[in-house]
Amino acid sequence: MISRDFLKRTPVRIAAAFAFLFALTVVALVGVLYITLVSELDTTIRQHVEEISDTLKAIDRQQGFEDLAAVVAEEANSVRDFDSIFLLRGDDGTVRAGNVENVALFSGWGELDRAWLPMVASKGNPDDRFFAKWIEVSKGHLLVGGSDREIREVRRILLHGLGWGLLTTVLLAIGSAVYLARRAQQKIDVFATTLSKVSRGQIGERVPVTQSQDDLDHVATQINATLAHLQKLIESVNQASSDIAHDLKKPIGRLRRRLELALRSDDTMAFRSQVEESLEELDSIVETFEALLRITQIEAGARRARFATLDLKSVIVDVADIYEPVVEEAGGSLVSHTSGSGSSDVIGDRELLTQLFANLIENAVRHSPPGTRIDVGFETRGDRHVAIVSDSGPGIPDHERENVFRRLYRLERERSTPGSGLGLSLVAAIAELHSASVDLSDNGPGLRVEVSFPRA
Amino acid sequence: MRILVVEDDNETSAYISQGFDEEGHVVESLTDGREGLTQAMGEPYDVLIVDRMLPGLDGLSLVRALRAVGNKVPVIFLTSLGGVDDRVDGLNVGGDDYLVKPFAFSELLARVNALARRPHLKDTDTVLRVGDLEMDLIARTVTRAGDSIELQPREFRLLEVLMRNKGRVLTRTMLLERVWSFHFEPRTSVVETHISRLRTKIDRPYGSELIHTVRGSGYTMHDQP
Repeated sequence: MISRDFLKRTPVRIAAAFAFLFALTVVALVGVLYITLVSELDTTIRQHVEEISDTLKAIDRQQGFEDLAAVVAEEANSVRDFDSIFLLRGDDGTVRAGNVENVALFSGWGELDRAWLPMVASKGNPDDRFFAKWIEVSKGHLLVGGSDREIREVRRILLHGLGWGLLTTVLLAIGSAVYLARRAQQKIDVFATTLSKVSRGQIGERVPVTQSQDDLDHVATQINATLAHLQKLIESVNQASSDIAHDLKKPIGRLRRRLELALRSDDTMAFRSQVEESLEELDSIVETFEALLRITQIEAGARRARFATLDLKSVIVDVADIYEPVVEEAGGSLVSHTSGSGSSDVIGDRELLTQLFANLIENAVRHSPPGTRIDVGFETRGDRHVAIVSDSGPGIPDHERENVFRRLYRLERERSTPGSGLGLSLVAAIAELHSASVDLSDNGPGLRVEVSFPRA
Repeated sequence: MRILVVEDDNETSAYISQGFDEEGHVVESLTDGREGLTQAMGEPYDVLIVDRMLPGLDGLSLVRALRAVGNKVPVIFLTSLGGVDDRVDGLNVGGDDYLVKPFAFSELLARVNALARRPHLKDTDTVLRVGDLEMDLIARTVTRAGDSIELQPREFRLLEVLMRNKGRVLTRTMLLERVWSFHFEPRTSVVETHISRLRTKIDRPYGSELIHTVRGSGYTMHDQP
């Protein structure tokens, strides 16, 4: 069940790291406790030995050696569990009293074990060691020693505790790791299944987002947002491809007929004119492609890197100036209302904004009957700079207003006239790039287009 | 004129070579960017026509390298459809002009002519002349046959571009770019309208035309009948 994959999972790794850290803490804690307790007990035992020694010395001093021998004998006999040792020797080395066999003299503290105390082997605890010390008494030497039993007991308890503590820590860590990994894995498995469904074409699938609002839920939300965006893109690409195919069938058909006619004609003049018309047809097909690619590139947004602060009003005035004679030539009039002072700075790309306004004005010219008046204006409203292009032409019917930004969309009444259906798509793409909104409304009669830019 | 074409698409390359050949120019073609750079550095050319995408070394790097060593040969970039930003990139590295494929040969020819025979007039010239038409760039006045002609600033700019390129063909696209900074194809007759307005002011009253339409290409100014 614990496969190599399992060990690679993030929660497992985190749990392992925590288990290690906890174990380390437990070991350190127990270690410190051990050292402190052992040194404390060590001191206590030695102090105890010193105290007994002092008492016995006092007896020797005040009541004499024989009384001391009697007290030692009594003490030695009354020792419980053999946790203290006594040995009193006369000056000649004979044992006068005690509960151990003869032990050689040594100076200072000694640690005696069974090798020193053969007699002890059968009594008391066989593992006992004794902290012992020879002291001089009036007619000989006295050995007093205390067992290290308590130290070993503490050590045993601590080791025991350490063992259980470590076991519990590690088990808890593994348990939580398994739990967390399982829980995360279940979610991740759902992600994987969903995404593989998406990659197989079920673009509408979404991953579930739980109430717990954890990291994975944030990822899930992000995945869903990305999928929704992708779905929209794919749909628009699908729509665009079929629109393009549909839209280009007509001109390509025309082109083919022209070339065929040219091939059949014996008259050089007719041949030439057919070929020339074919070239024009081809140019307009290329133009449509160019415009489509341009929209795609603008939508990709790389152009934003070239943005600079520019005077929006001056762009509008320039474009209006350029188009004024063109509109007049078409029998209409172009009036600009761009007076008024105050900054009209926006962040943007002058070339693209020029094209945006050119497209709006051209739209008005091309879709209106001769004699139509076109108004171009500029206003500042709060934190927005708003450019307005309005005409008194036929306008756009309400039910079609939604669609005109779609690529290659043509108004129902204009399907038979020339035009690419890309003008407003391009306007929308450029506006979007500039974080500007495009609003179409009824100019009663005609169309009113407002492009609202955030102020620089 | 001696022209070097660096273009890896053989059909485009042959199309360009044949066109210039018919115009009486010498064309050399290469397909690899690195070879193109070596050749351009070693030989004197009047114009370089360089595709953006090339094997060996891309067009931008080629021109950047050329400019880095101080070579000032005029360069026209060719780029595929839809390269909105390509023009700016091309001009930034030191290219002089830029053309999107597919293009009409007449467009390329006009641009090469405009580049190769760099303005005869020096920058210090302040008066442009075509026949009896005179433009004073300092006083910003225009006279024909001694009559003062009132022009709008934009008409003045259009006439200036035409006069500076006296004898050369300027295509509609070139005029759109140079006079109005339009880097797109308008769907209304912007160029025709402005040219026609200019003609009514400087040509029509005088009986002889200075602005000539070159069929299928564009416009040119000269005083030869």
